[in-house]
Order: sequence, then structure tokens, then C-alpha cells
Amino acid sequence: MLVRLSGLGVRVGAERWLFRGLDLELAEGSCLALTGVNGSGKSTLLRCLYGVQDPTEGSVTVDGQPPDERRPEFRRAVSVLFDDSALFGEYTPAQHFELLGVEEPDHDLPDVPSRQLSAGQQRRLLLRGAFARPHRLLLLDEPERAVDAAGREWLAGMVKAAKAAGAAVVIASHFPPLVQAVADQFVDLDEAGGTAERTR
Amino acid sequence: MRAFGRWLADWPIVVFVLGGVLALPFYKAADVRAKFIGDHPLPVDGTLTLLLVALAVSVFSVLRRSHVWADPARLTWDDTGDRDRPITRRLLGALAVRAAVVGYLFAAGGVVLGWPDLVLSVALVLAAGVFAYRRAARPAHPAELAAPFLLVAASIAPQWTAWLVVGVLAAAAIPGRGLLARRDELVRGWNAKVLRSVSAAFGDVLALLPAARPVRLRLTSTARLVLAGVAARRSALPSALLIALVVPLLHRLFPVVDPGWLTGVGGYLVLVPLAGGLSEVVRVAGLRRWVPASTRALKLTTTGVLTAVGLAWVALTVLFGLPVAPRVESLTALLAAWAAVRTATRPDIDYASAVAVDAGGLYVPVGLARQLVRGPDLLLFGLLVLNAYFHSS
Repeated sequence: MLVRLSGLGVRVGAERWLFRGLDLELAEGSCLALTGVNGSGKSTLLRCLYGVQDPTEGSVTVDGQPPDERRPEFRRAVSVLFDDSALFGEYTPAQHFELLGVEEPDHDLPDVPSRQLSAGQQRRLLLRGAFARPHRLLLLDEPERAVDAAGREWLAGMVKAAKAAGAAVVIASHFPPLVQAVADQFVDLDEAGGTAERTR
Repeated sequence: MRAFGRWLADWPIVVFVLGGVLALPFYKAADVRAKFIGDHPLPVDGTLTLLLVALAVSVFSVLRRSHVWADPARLTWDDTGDRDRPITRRLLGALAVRAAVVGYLFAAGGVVLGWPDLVLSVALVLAAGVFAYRRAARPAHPAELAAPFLLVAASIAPQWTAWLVVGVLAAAAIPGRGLLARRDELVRGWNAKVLRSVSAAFGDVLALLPAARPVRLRLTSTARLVLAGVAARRSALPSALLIALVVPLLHRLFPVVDPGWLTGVGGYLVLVPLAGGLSEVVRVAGLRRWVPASTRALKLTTTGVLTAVGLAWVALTVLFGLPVAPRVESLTALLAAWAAVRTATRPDIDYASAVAVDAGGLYVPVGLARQLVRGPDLLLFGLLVLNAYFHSS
């Protein structure tokens, strides 16, 4: 198992638990979807998986180690799309892929500095970057945001391709068709005090 | 280097004047001594005290970690390498700048106030530098803030305690360098850096007021809102305490300088960050709509609360050795609070009315300067009036 959560819990403030007693395992080549209303803890759980946030209780391991994005070897294995992901406004999409050191994937983004792209195109570029970067684990926080209908279909295809390539994917989403299309396991952080898990 | 050369060429008069002022202690030491010390005897260990104060302020400023940042775009697209190296490089740059300032003050102090024990001075500089280097590249720990206060305290205590401080700082620097900064800290640092750059470019220091922290207080009245705004900026308290310690020391070093001036300037620096809540409410239309109180009521209430805080701060400076003059000190606290409120409620800068005036070959944007000194102008005028009144009566 690539990802293991054991009794994981995160408390905010003195009494409110975002989630608690969360146990699950995620194998390579499968996808876990996190659902729930705003503020239910989806992004927090993703941050725990990336080692940016310490859980209040329980443990999380990625490839047998506690996640720690301060280690370069961990960052080389995990690709993320978070709220703080950003673009170099002065660089074109091709230059961004050169930075990643990967071959530029096929895309329909114009060859202009990224600051001239529309919000949806910028989001597509961020997604392209997250998928293109070599990874064993892919963490996506609401990837459907600012993406049009065709882009959402493309997104589902990309997640499936990542799974087929052997990556484990964790996706936080408010878009049920995407979740239905790609997820093998679900955690609904609204249900049963935020600890409900289902496996397809 | 070429950029520095261009800067020198662009600002010849500024460089000339600044260089001349900074060189004064070295070629007019007696005049500087007469200006700042007068007929008073030279303070015992004056230069050592100056060195300790400079080191304390330097260490305190480095521990703010303004060098810990990373461009989120780089974290997204080019983050497989060593994150630590650029942070360490920036930290070394920050330390070098502070070392230059401390070195200048030490040399100037040595010429004007007399030279201290050189071995102890070098040991202090090295211990403070190593401590700052080891601590400031790693996540903050509340206990580390004791270091600048220890340095200042050593200037009040007998001289042998300075050796103790050297030992404590060196020992505190020995443990492993600990954990690296995490992505969220790096992004937070980047956002703060962008804010600093914008603020510097537009000359708007109000953007640099400390961010508010959560406060558990029911906001049922204007007074409570103002109190909450002040309490939310409690991150400014360590610097307030440091200034309270430094002000009496400056008076000891330069007895000719009236304590009222030191209290006024120090109090203003302490109170401006605490007026951040008022500044936000007055300047941000979206926030203003949440507050039914009139702007006048908000200003008056804030002035009252800040005066109370200012009086408590003045009491601290008295406790640490500033000569007591209750009437002057009380009025100075009120003046500093009023000036802080005037600064915090400054309207957005109107760059269209910058109005540059030729001042001896140097174009000074008088219209802009007039807007930027809102607050300090009142402080200066008030201190002049208070000084004239109390020294004539």
C-alpha cells in the first residue's frame, strides 16, 4: 500500500474535529475521492498527506514514511495541485514544462506568457504540470475549479491515465461526475462525524 | 555591482550628504560628543552598551525571518532541488548588512565614547552572529526571542554578565539546525515579501502593519472593537518591550537628548502597529460597512485605548531607568497615540499630487512627502511644543 491512514484526526479550535479516527489504505493505480461541504476538511486531509500539516492524532504514511515535503526525494515522488500552486507570469507553457524537465505534452494552450492566458487556461496549465511531473502519488485539490465542461471530461481522462500508469491519486472534489468517473474509494467528510469511507 | 554604481550616479547629492553625516563621528568627534553628551561625564562602557543594543536589534530583526520565502511558482514547477541553499544565501546577506551597521556603530561609538574591551566585543558579535545564523534559517521557537533581550539586559548588568550572554548564545547555537521551513511557511514568506515590495514601491508603510490574530471578545461596542483590534496585533508586543528597554539606554548614552523626545518617538513606534485595526476599518470600504460607529468615534476611542497602552509602556521605560517627569510623560503618551491614529487613518496616497520641487539640485516630491509624514508631522510639532513649554516654565 502506498498510502496508509491510521486513526487520523485533525481538530480545529478547542473542540471541533474536522475528521477523526480515519483509517484507510490506498494502493498504487487507484484513486481516493474526498467529498464534503466547504470547511469539512478535504484540503486539510490533502495537506496531511503532503506533510504540510501535522495531524492532531493518528498517523499517515506514504510509502512507509511519514510524509514530509521538506525532503526533496519525497517531492520527487509526489505531485500536487493545491491552492498555492502558481505560474510564472513571464513564462510560456512550453517554458514551464522545460522547468519540470519533461517533454511538453500535447495541448491547445497558446504560446504566450502565462499571464496572458485566461483563468481557465491557467488552471489547465497547472493541471498539465501536475500530471506531467513524474510521480507515484498525485494530490489534487478541487481540480475541476475554473475548468469548462470539455476540460472536466479531459480531467477525468487524465486521472484515469495517471492511475493506469501506476500512480495513486487523491482528489478532493465538489463535482460528482468526476468523482464517479475516477474514484475507487470515497471518503465523505460530512457523514458520520467525518469518518465515513466507502470502497467501490 | 553595476547597479550599485548606477545608483551612486543617480543619487550623488544623497550619497554626498549621507556619507558626510555618517563620517561626522570620525572627523568631528569632539563636536558630536558635545552635541550628544554635553558636559555630562562619558557613560561607563558606553560603546559596549551601544554594541549590545545594536546586536539586540539586529538579532531581533533577523529572527523575523524575512529571508524565508520561496516563489510559489518555483515550488510548483521547479522544486526538486535544495530549497535550503537560497534561504541560507539570503540569510547570510541579511547578516552581512547588519554586521556592517553594527560595525559602523561600534567604530563611531569607539571614537566618540571610548573603546571597550575588544576581546569581549568580538566575542559578542561572533556569538550573536552564529546564534542568528543557526536559528533564523529554521522554524521559529518562542524561546529564541529571549536572545535580544539577554543582549540588552547585559548592558544594564555588570560587565561580566556579557561573557555569560556570549556563553548562552553560543550554547543555544550548538544544537542541530533542526527542521527546514515547510511549503506553507515559504508561501507565507513570499506573500509578505510581495507586500513589502509593493509597500516600498508605493511608499505605503501602512501595508506593513502586523496582521491580526484571532481574538475571543464580543464586539458589542466601539470600545470593544477597538480593544479587539489592539489585542489582535499582540505580535507587536515583543518589539514594544525591546523599545522600552532601549529608550532608557539611549538616554544613558546620550544624556543631552531630552527623554521626552525618546519617549515620543519610541511610543509612536510602539503604538502605530497597534493602530492597524483602525487603519483597516477606515481604509477598506468592505470592512467599514460592518462597523456602525462614526469615524470620529472610532478615532477618539482608539486614541483613548492607545494612550492607556502608551502610559503602560512609558511606565516600563521609567521602570528600566528613564528619568521620571509624570506630566511630560503622560502628555507625550497622549501625543504618540494621537500621532499613531493620524498615521493609521491617512487616506490612500494620491500620486497625482506628488509635486516635485527642486531642492538644491535634488528633486523632492513634496506633495508625496506631505502625505507620507502624516502622523510624524504631528509628533514632531507636539514634541517641539511640549519641549518649549516645559523647559520655559
